[in-house]
Amino acid sequence: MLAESPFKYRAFDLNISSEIEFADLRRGCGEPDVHVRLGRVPERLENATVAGVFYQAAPRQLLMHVESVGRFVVTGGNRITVDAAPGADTEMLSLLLAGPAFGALLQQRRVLTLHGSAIRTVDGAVVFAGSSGSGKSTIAAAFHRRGYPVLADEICPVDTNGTLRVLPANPFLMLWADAAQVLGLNEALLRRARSALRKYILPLGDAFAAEPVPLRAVYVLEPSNERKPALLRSHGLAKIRLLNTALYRPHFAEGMGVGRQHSRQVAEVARQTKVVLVKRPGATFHLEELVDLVAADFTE
Amino acid sequence: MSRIFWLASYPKSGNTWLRVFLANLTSEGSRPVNINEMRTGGTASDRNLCDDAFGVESADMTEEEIERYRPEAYRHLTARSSEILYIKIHDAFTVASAGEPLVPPEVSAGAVYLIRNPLDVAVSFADHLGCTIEAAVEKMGSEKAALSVSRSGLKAQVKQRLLSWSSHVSSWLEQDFIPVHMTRYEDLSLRPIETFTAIARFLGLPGDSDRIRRAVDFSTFEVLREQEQAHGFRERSPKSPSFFRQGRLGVWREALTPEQTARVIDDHGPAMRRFGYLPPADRI
Repeated sequence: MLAESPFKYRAFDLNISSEIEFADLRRGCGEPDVHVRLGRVPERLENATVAGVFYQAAPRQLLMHVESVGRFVVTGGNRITVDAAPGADTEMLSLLLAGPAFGALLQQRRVLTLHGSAIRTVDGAVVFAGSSGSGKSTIAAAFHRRGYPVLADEICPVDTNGTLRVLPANPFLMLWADAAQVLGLNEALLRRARSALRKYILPLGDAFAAEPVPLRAVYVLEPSNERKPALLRSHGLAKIRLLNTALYRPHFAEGMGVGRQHSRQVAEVARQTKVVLVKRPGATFHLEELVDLVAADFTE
Repeated sequence: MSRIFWLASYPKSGNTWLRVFLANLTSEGSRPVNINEMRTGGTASDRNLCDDAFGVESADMTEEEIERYRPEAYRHLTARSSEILYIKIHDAFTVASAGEPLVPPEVSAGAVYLIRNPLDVAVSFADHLGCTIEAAVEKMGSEKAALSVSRSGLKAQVKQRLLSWSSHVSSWLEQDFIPVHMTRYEDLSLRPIETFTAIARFLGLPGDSDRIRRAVDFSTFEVLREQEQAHGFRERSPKSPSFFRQGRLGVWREALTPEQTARVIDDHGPAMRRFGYLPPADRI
């Protein structure tokens, strides 16, 4: 894991110099925006304002401690310091760095983080947001199969300086076995994100959209017990309410002192973008029907 | 810091009814609370509740890891809230190998435990799971029974250990970590005013008779069914055509075969006898 010279990657539209090797990230070059280093991390943040079971947030800082992995701290929007536990679960470490660590780092950089996936269409980026298990990755994978390039999965970064743009995140999707099956993928050929979970990494290769794309629409997925999927376009304040249910770890932003900034960014997205509530039946039923419905909606 | 009152039961034992009653009791409205907009503090197994408290996706954690850290999530929840929380829970009251209960005693004010005739539970549970009564009876008899097991995909809720129906009952009623107020579903139905008043008193909620009567009237089976027919109910299982189905006592008499009835009694006789679901001798 420790390298003599740092690894160079490009993810979340940032150049990353890292002492830790990531199996699934795109190689990069150029002047680093972010440094991932191994080093000592304190047990706690002195000035934490918000804390959860595994994290503490203070202005411009987020510390995370997961027993099987160790600790890491994200500071100043440009540094992630990792204090790995002896025999750390490296798969979990990769998931935590690509997820909460970069999520917090983007928030520190004043990038709006939606909890969702995004694809590129001819009219701009379309985001699929929603809570865990709402099918964000599955629908992105279904669009990927129809030839749409994918920008992001899990954390969808939106740059709100000037034209709203979705930033490219990572060149892979993560899919559970049931979604992989519905999409006709062979589980045996996919690598697991963690060996204990039937959650797989689907590399995107050339189907990864590596450049920022203007934001066109946000679809917020909500599981429904109805038989058919339904789209409900939202207006006015309801747009803000809906987008607020689709944020990535808002407590991080709040604790790091960028909560208000996030609210302004959400209001801006609501003002400029179409926001639609998608009521979708059970995990993988009606997937093609849902994709048809959504595609017809964003091309109209 | 706040504390939690747990609204605990085996599935299909009146938990939703109780929550609708509480929502109506604590609302000042002149009309029944919308069943799709009840705010009673959430569900213990809600994946979002866990993700939020953890700061790590529970989807990246194994079921064992999630189970181990769930008590922490509830501590976290009370640390962040100033109001008493009423949280629905279907998990059995389990204690981890390190001796820690799933439900942390120091943040628990107590629990209302609802119990219902397992013969009627079997009918309703089969409908909820979209399985045969045979399979529901089997599940109720299994010590390994659980809800929301993520075998190949992600469920909206995290795994909940149910144990068998009898063990579920004894896990809550025979623990001595937190105070429990036991209520029979049948008493909610037959003696609603008296029974709901006792619950309100236990939970430290207003118990004056006008308010109780209004909340009871706003939570009758007919009101709930009417609302579901008009607007649907978000907690309905996709496998079941409706959530509020019959609400009658003793539906098992028409729905269970003699063999299935015998099997339930065989599996759960002692607990059934203890709570008045079987006469002292095995006559039914």
